[in-house]
Amino acid sequence: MEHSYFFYHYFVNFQKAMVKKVNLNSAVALRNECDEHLSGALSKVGYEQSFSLVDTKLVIGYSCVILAGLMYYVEKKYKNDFNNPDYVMYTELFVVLFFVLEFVWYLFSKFVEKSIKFVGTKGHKTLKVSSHLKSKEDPVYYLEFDLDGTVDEEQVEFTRLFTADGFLDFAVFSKLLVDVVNKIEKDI
Amino acid sequence: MNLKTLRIQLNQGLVMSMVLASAFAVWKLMSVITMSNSPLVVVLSGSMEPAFQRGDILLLWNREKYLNVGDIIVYKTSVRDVPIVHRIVREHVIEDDLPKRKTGKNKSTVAAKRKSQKILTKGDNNQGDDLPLYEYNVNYLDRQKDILGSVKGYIPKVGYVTILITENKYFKYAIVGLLALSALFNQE
Repeated sequence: MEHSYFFYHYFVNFQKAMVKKVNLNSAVALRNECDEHLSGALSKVGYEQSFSLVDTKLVIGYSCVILAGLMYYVEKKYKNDFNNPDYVMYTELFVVLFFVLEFVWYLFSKFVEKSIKFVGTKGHKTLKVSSHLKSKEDPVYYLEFDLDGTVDEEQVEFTRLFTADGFLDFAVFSKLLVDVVNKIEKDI
Repeated sequence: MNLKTLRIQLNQGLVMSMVLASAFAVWKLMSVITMSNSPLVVVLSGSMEPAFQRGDILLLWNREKYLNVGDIIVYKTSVRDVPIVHRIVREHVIEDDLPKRKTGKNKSTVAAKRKSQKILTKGDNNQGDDLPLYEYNVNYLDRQKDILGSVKGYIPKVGYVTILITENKYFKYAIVGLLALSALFNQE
């Protein structure tokens, strides 16, 4: 009796650690929850998540933040005295570098990252999965799979993926993804 | 904490940091363009009424070498560390000594001269000029050292929020509370 009670608690807590309750009225929250579980589902077909895209964006972004920090540092060091040509030169340099990098960050977001939520590798194959919503009122999850150039688009209603309580049904979600990826791999 | 969770938290931190860093960088960009260490100031007193009211935001420009009688300028003195917005009523240019520096093989000291403009100001709505506001034994403001810039434009009333924040402590907590609430409700 005690053993089964322990396992029941362990199972329930394990499920809770995996998924959280989501507001069923917010398409954005539903999409975010699905995005978070893409890597878990796709690891079942052997795709290990690659973080190079995320890391590059983090490096560019934090470089901008560091430059802003440097602007603040020189302001304190030179007491914000614009009569000092050294201070003016450093501030101009950091401001220009900041906006150049912020523009690069924006271009990277728009043209390289786009709406890619998962990048994974299996051997020599690279799988990229993007997700988006058509509108906030439309509770449909649109997915685009790109396996080494072969593109496949899928869509699924959130009502099929979430329980009435607001939890993601991970079994249904991962089965859907596994089926799609197996189908694409066969087509190549 | 695994690497994926770390990346998610770094990303969230980056979004917030970029907002702050961008705001600061825009402020520094304006400073560099106007060559003023404070390109926007809020009118704090009624000494320039009816031209400017308390709470108006002033846009400054500090690239002019010499200013004219009648220009509205913003200055700060070490006596009171708040920006004062008044009109130039008198000005003249004198030759000052620059700090002495050693030159050439003979190592003789040469006192270089520079021209500097001295300025007397008065608030339109004040009875007398600003002499009592200046430092002890100082009869004029120095254009290079004391002037933040001349007023080139203004936005009425918008800056009253900053006056309320500094003068009314309940307003400060209300603003912080509103910001926290809006961050909570913003999922995307």
